[in-house]
Amino acid sequence: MSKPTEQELRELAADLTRYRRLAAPPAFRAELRASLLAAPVVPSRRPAFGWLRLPALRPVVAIGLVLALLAAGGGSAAASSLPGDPAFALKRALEEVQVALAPDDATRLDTLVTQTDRRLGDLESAVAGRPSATAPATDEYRAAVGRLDAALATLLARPATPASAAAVARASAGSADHLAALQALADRLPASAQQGIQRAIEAQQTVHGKSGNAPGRRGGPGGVPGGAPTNPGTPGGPAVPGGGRPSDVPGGSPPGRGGPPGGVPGPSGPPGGVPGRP
Amino acid sequence: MGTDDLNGPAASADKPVDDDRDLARRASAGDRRAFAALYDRHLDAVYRYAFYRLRTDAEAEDVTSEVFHRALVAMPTYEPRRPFLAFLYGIARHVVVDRLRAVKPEASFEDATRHHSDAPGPEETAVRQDDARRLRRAIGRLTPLQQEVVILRFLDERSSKEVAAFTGKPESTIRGIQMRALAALRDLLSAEGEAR
Repeated sequence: MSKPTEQELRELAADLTRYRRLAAPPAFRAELRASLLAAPVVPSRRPAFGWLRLPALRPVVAIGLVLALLAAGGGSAAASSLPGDPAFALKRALEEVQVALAPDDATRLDTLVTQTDRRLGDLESAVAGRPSATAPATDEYRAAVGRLDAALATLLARPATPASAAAVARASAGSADHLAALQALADRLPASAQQGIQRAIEAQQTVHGKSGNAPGRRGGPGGVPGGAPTNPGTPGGPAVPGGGRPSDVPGGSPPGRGGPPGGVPGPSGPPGGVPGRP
Repeated sequence: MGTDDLNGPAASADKPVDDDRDLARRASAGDRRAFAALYDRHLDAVYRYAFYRLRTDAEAEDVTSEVFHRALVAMPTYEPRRPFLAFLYGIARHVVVDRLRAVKPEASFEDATRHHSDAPGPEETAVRQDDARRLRRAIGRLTPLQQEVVILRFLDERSSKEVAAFTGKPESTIRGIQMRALAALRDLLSAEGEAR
């Protein structure tokens, strides 16, 4: 091919402008709009200590808490506390400070991964040595996974950077470890504790599905104990209940050709294919 | 965008960013009608992006649907200082990359484009479906970054600055990429025209 002149490129650019009129097919537009309006209400994910996100307050709060801890000599007690202990609230407050002080989303995700590791450790300690703490430890674990899930969603909604991709990769790897550990714990727990641990597993599967399917991650969540559902169906593929991307839409995956997993109906393609809009 | 100057600013004054900000603020507080208004405003831009980056009409619809559902879920954490469309493009980019990874490589463009419907729809007017699909095939052979630049710059009227912000590349780099992308696209379209 000959090297095009600038004039030729301008002409091509001008020609491309007519493709701007391409619009979503009306039937698809209407169905997706209806499904969005009917989708379950999304709960606010604002953290309990949301006021700590005020940048100006962060150093003050952090220093204040550290001084209070030193004065009270409660640092070690808090560190070794389990959910349900009075000192656990202090431990959580410090963790919230860590999250609030994170300079960016990737660091925040790393911090939350570490905190989720701690909650898993708490849960394992409770199961091993203090059965009465198992239920609150399970609840705290799920809450930590929920915070991790929210941070992951925030990160994935932004343009990927090397730092964010690495953080997502770490979250994905950690999530796989957690699922294996939770499954091992579930095998040891009595029937009365099964519901809680299964919900914890489901919460972690949500994170694993999200991080495992993130750009830059290979493969899905297959192979993980009780693995999360995989991607939405391929075009023309069968509808698989629960086959949507987990947790992106409460109650099911977004409507698509893979079939609605108990959520809102997927918009079917209009017979006219892709129309141009006048 | 004026074509007199390939590097000139896009005529994006018709994108009411301030209204977006207000609607997004309300949508992030749970106002579903505000979210629907944002949807009405930006659906076509997201759909076009998906249409030209993917291989089939069906995939474009799936991805568009997933983008808006993800956006709905992420609204409580939406940062209002960021343009809402950039927020949507960010999600779309992730979903498209995800989708492209999942697609079987042996599926040809021709097979893929036959999947949904090649019959002209009643809405077909200024843009013929065949033309749009031909352009899609050509764009699909550009590098991912060239694809984004062509789609955002020429098919969605974004300025170089906006494209630079979206892709995380310097504006000067975007200008260079757009020239190379146009040259490559011209060759691809010419070659396809000769093959027909």
